[in-house]
Parts: sequence; structure tokens; C-alpha cells
Amino acid sequence: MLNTLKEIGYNDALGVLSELTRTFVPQSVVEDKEIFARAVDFRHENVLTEIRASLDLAPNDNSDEARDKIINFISDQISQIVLGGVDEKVVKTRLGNKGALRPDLYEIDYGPEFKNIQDRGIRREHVGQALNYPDDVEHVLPEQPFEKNGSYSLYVKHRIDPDPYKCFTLLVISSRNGYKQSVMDAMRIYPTDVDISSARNPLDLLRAFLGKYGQQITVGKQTSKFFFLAIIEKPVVIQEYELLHIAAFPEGHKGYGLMQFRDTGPTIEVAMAYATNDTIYRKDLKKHGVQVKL
Amino acid sequence: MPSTPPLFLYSTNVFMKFLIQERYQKGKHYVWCSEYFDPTKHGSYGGAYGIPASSSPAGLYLRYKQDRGDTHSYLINEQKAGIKKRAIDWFQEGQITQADLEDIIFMVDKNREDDWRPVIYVIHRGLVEPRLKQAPAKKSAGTGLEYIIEDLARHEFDMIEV
Repeated sequence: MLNTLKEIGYNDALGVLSELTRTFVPQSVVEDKEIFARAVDFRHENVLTEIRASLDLAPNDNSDEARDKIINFISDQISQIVLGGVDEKVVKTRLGNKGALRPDLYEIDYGPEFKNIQDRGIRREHVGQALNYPDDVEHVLPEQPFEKNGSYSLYVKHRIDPDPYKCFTLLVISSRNGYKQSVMDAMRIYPTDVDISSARNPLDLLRAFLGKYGQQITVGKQTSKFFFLAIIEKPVVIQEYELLHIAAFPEGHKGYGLMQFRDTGPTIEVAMAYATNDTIYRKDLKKHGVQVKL
Repeated sequence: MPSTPPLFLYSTNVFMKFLIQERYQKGKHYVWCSEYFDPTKHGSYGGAYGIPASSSPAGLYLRYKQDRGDTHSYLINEQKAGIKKRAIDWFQEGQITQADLEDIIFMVDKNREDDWRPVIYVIHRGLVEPRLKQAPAKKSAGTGLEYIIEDLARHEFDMIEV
């Protein structure tokens, strides 16, 4: 940090740097509202003099190159003052919870259930690419009572091929906790198998996929192939399985899905619930040449 | 017969600025805008003439697009500095918290080149007419008419990329 900034307090240092930025950056880039105007005093001159000395710039060098160096220097000083001494993990946790963290800064946990996803012919590299460089992403920012267990992120990665039979979209569902993400599910969705023409976002894609491969689930008195951030009145329950019940799969068929729900007493809070007939789905994947485990 | 003002106004910004304003200013956007997206497509007569092509919405869009990925781009460096400056001002006015300030500075420093891509706001003039402020002539790039809208709401513009 510049010595001239160390001599003044945190707020004053930021104020000086803000004013100096206004001096060097075009009006159209900075807001010039009167409420933000500050008195320019000797401190600005002192700081600017030290900046020029640090950059080895002559006092009267107002070239574009000099201006660019000064702007970058001021920007760096702001970062040093604001973030110096701040634990980066704390910032990443906050941003991660908001779904605002740069995608590749999330730590990815593949977990033991990832084997089911691998049996669908989806590798870690595929999922990693989708999470780090998605074509689309939807970060669910749930409100109470789902704030703790409803922070899902849905990532989409398209694979385009001249052969329409080989085109698909990889949809990855993860659960966020700060800057950590746990991969919950991943599926390849082939538009030749699933009608995704009306899907406008990743959640729509998931609904379309479940429309084809999902099993009916009954929660309380409601039946659907997909429950999401739902609070359902609980009927008089005799057995616990009546809280959430999946329709029987055909004999020999296997299922895979997500079941995150909570019995609160009077209600059933369902963060997310669906069940895929994985046997039918994998058979369809095999038709597209995907190496699956049947 | 007086001419009818154009139905739309245009403003080129970087996507990061859009993100920050949406998240930390409750979706209110401070923008400079112009009646003419690309003044080179208009004749030598009228308001388009005074707007330099390089600082028109079209010109800026092309320059940002060319500079994407260039860590030495002075255009993008200006944007980064401008966002940081705004964050400081909001913090000192009590509009955001210390944590928000840290988050914004972190995002500006860490986010990827894709977040610095240019986007165009196509603004419905009828929705903003009473709030248009003429940009100060001495601070405009040319003599053509430019406007400032201090509190553009999300529903008042479409955002496009070409």
C-alpha cells in the first residue's frame, strides 16, 4: 500500500482513491452524482505524486499509456485496502451462497453417489466442464424454510453435432454450500428422445426430462413427477413411507433420483424430489452409442 | 413539421456492470445513452453527425468485443476502476455493507473475461422520457446529443448481444 494512504484512515483512503478514479476515468464510465463529490485536498496530490513516482512517470506525463498505468495502480490499491487482511474463503462463501462466485472457484465434491452417474456414461471431466464452463446456469436462491437445504445449481452444457442423433444437452444438478458444490445428479438429454422445445431454462429442462423418464411420486395428497421447494400439508400419517411414496417401478427396473424432504409435523417440506426410471433411460442412452452399464 | 424523437435509446455496457447494478443497486442502472446506435448509418445532417463513431454504442460495442480477453485493454481497465469507484461511493453513502464492498472488489478482480463482454441496452424511450438528463457537453465525446439516466429499471430496457 502507498505510504501516503497508510497515513490516513480506511475511509479517507478509499475516498481519495475514488476521487482520483473520477479524475482519470471517463465521465460515462463513472457515476458523477453530486452526492458522491468529495473535497479535493492536498492528500489527493500527495497520493498522485507517490503513484507517479512508483510508476516512474513524469509529473506532466498525461499520455494515454500513463493514464492507463495510473488507473490500474489505483484499482490495485483499492483491492489491497478493501481485501487486505480479509479471509478469501469468507468472501467465497458469501458469493457461493448467492450463486455469484466465478464457476471454477467452487470446490466440487463428486461423492459416493457419483458412481450412478458414471454408470450412465458420464465422466467426471464432462461434469467438471459443465460446472466450470457452462452454457447456462441457474442458481436457486431459496427463501425460508429452504435456505439451508434448497441451494441448488443447475448447469447446462450443449453438445452440438451435425448429426442430430448425436446432439445432446448435459444437465448437472449440484447442491451449494458456500464455495463448495456437491454433484447430486447429471443426465444427458437428447432432443430426439425428450421434447425440450418449450424449455427456457435449466429447470425447464429437468422437468422435460422427468416428463419422459420420471416416476410418479406422491407427497401427502399430491402426486407429481417433480416436487421442488414445496410445502405440503401432511395428512394423518400411519406409516412413515406415506410421507413420500414413489410409484412402483416395473419388475427388474432400477431407479435413481433425489429425495430431500423434511417432516415438520404439520407439513412436509420438499426441497427436491424426483425419481428416474434409470433402466429405460440407460437403454435410450445406449441407442445413442453411450457406454452405459445396464 | 417537428420530427418525432426515436422510439429507442441505446447504451453499451459491460456485463459485469449489469450484474453489479442488479445485485447491489436493486436493479437500478446508471447509464449513458444515445438516440443513435450507429451514427455512421445516418446522414451528415441531424443529431447523429456529432457523435464520434468510436464512442457511439455501436463503436463501443465493437471495441469491447475486440478487447475481450486482453488483460491490457484500457477500456476494460477503465470499467474495472469505475465499478470499484462506484462500490466505494455506495459503501460510504451507506447503500451497501462492508461485506458487499469486499464481494464486489473480489468479483471485479477475479471474474472471467466473459463477464467483461459488451451488452447493449435497448431502452424504451417512452418509459424514461421524463428522467432523461442531457449529458454535459464538455464531458461528452463529441457534439452529438447523449443522455444520462440515473435510475434505469430492468423492465425499461432489453439487453441484447450481437
